[in-house]
Amino acid sequence: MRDLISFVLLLAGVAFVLLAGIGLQKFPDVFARMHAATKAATLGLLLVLAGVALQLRSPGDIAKLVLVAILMFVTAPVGAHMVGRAAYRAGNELSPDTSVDELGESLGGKAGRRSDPQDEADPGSG
Amino acid sequence: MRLFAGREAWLLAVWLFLWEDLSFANLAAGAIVATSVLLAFPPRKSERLGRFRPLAALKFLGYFSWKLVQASVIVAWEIVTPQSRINEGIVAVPIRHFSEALTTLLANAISLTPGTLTIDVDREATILYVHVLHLQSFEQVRQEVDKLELLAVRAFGNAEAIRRAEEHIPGPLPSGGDPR
Amino acid sequence: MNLTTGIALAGLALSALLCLVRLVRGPSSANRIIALDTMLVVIVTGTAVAAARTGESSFLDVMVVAALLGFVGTVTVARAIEWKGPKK
Repeated sequence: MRDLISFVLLLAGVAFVLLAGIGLQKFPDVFARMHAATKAATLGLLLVLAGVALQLRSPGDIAKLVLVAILMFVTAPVGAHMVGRAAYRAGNELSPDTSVDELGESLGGKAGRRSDPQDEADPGSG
Repeated sequence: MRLFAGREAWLLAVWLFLWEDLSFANLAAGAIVATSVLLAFPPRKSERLGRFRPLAALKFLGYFSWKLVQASVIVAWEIVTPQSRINEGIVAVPIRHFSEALTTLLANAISLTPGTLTIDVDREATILYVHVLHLQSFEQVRQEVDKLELLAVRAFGNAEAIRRAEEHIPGPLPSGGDPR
Repeated sequence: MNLTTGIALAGLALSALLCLVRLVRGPSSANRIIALDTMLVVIVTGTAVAAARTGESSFLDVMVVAALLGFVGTVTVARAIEWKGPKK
């Protein structure tokens, strides 16, 4: 029974990490890729660590897994934010799909402001 | 009087976990290391979170974990299906509590919720610039952040911050215009 | 159990390969550091799975160190990108 739960957790976790890798290929620009890397990879990691924790015996080992889980949980978004900020300021181009860029206009007009998508769909209200 | 007993206890616990050795010698060594580290890098005033309410914190954690699962599933779905629903954008979201530590917590939480990723913070820490993957409308993004902010402030903020968040007093937008 | 960990490790190896592709292709340094960050997650996950597979608990110490150093590396490169300016 415990093996079965571990099995499910491990495979689900690896699936998410694998999807994160695929997402790195598929997404159009660096910011979208960060979404894939942060969210999917972090959840995948947590699932795998849970699956592994069920297999280990000594509390010291499980404590280390908990430690790493907390660590990655806290550091993954910070890492993504710093890279995103640096990438933006260093001039990484947003993909042509980008519809609005409010950060650009407040920093001095790097990209034009296009309108709120909801306004475009319904110009009467808003 | 120990000024940072909480952080020290945490560092000591981590030390003991890593060494797996509960003898007195290790305890003493851990205490010395923890104290030295905290003396060398003292936590600044702005890094204090304020209050800590366990029940509200638990609610925040629960909501947030659920959102993480939701976020990963949405991203996974986007990756697996061949057509792309990606409509990227960077939205300016004004926040209301003006406390650096809370802003940091909120920014990190936003990065783990569905479709949003914090890119930049305004100098006075009043505006978060959020990169959104599936952008539907500005209002939707701001509402999601507001909800997250409300939960976080109820768990960790002081009374003033809670008042501002609950009355939905809007913060200033970059152009200084009317945010609502 | 061995079969499960074997499958898991194979999946992780594939993910690492995909990260490697982005590492080589990614037009800017930011792309590359994201690939490395994801590869770090693969490494940490793989180490945990390996620890479960062999029962060696010393792998877990490796995992903790890898996670810490990986984070420091990511932040350092992010700062370097920010200071250096436009991508190469």
